[in-house]
Amino acid sequence: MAGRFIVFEGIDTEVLIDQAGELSAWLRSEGLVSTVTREPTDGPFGAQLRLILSGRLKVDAFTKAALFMTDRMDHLNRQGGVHADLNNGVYVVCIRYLLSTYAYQNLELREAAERLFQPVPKALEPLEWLRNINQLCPWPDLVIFIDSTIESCLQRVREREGAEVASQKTLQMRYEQDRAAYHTAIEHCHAWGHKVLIIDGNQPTATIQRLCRQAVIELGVEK
Amino acid sequence: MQPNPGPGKLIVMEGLDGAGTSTQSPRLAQWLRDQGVRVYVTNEPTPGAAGMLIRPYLTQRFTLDGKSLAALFSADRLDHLYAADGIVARLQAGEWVIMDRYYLSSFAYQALSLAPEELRWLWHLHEPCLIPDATFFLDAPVNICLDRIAAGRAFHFEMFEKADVLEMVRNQYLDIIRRFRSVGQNIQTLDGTQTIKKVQESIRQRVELMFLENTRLSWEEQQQLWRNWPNLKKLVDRIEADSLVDLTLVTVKKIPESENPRGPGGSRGGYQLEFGGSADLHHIAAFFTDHYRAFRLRPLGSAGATLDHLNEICPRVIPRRSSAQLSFGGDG
Repeated sequence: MAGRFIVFEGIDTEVLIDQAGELSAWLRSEGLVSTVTREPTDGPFGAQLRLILSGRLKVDAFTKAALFMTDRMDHLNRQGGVHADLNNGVYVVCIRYLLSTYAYQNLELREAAERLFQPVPKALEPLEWLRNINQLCPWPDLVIFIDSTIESCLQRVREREGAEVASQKTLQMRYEQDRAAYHTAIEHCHAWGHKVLIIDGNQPTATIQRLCRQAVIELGVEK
Repeated sequence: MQPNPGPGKLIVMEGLDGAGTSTQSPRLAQWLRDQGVRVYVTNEPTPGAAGMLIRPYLTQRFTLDGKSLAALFSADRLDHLYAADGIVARLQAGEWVIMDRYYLSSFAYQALSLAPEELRWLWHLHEPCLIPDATFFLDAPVNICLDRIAAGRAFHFEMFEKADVLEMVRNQYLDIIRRFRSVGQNIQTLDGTQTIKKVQESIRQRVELMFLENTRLSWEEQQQLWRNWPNLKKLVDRIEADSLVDLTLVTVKKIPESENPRGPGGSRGGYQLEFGGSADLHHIAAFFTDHYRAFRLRPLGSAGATLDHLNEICPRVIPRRSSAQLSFGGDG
């Protein structure tokens, strides 16, 4: 019995965590075995990536992309990893995967490649290169992109960090850039024949949950 | 893979564990410094952001599947190249870089755990890597490498240091070297069983010919030469393809008219092709003269032996593993 690989993507990590947890709990309540996992992982490469993402460890864009891919390969192939779980019939719900790579690393890589090579060689066109180096990572059974609004992301930050967020404008620009990058990445994925389900994040949480469950049911749930 | 963007040269030492790469690198660096060249010596895996996780794996302190390991090595390599004080920055600043191991190691070692179709993936991973100006592959039989490893280390053997595995790695090296050469990469095989001093002499001689003498043809000029002399290019390709000899084109140089006033066929001046590798020069000479008459052969360090004399002197003066110059006149 093969499991299913379901991935949540989006600009608001907290929404992704909530929805992934809820979906996994629902699958278990349906008598299935389900686990929640995320990238960067809790493995040795994920730890390095967290240092890089927080700005404490500096690496160039090529190395960062290769480390993300290394972490992903380990995530998939290690003992008790995603592949093993899927083979054992587990419904693996993952927070962030390939679409995040295509969204976040595309811009960084373009900047780096244009700084280093004039013109940028075809083999190093960022999305092509990212796709090629991730070619051993299978596209999931279901990718759900929760399209959160910029305002809801900012509101969440305000609630967490207090009314006065010093760099409100910078934060807003970053979210806008990330959202646009995701939409560009989704267009490319569709062109490559990879499906991405887009769910409007500006809906009540219960509605989003229902839409996610419905998408999983359409995959064909095997008990 | 990308061309070296800098004025500095990138020189790589490759070989099995125990073949002597880490012995030769610092010696070459010191000699280059004596010639007034700024040199940075480095090796893989590095102690960088990705490389620091490779050593614990190699000493079996944690497990990793083959594909993840290949990915990790490539991440380390990219960090090595593109970090703020990395290899690219140094080459651009005019520094020469000598590397103990580079991507051939990945294609030799990590490829053992990859399916043939996954080699394409490994190639993609290395697209941002710089092509070395020269790679020296120190070739030594597995038993010699293992003896050297055992003599140098008292406590442990690393993951790959077992005879059967090393034999597979060596075969993988030879195969991948053939492939990279076929796309124009400058990879030269040296006899790693020779003494440290002899191997070093051979490396220095080649580095001097390739990079320190200003008579060397540029890449573009060399390509032009192949276009002008298509039969010669075919011959070199055929020798490689037939595996008649392990032959490496070291360099192409112009011969001034003053050095060759009456070249073969009555031409003046011409070009000189310098070859190295584990070639039997008698064999090469016979092959060339069968197909292409305008050659004369001159063993390195010996002046002016012509093909007429070759049959007599070759077996005596040229050891089986050697280097030679093949010269030909300007009229093809």
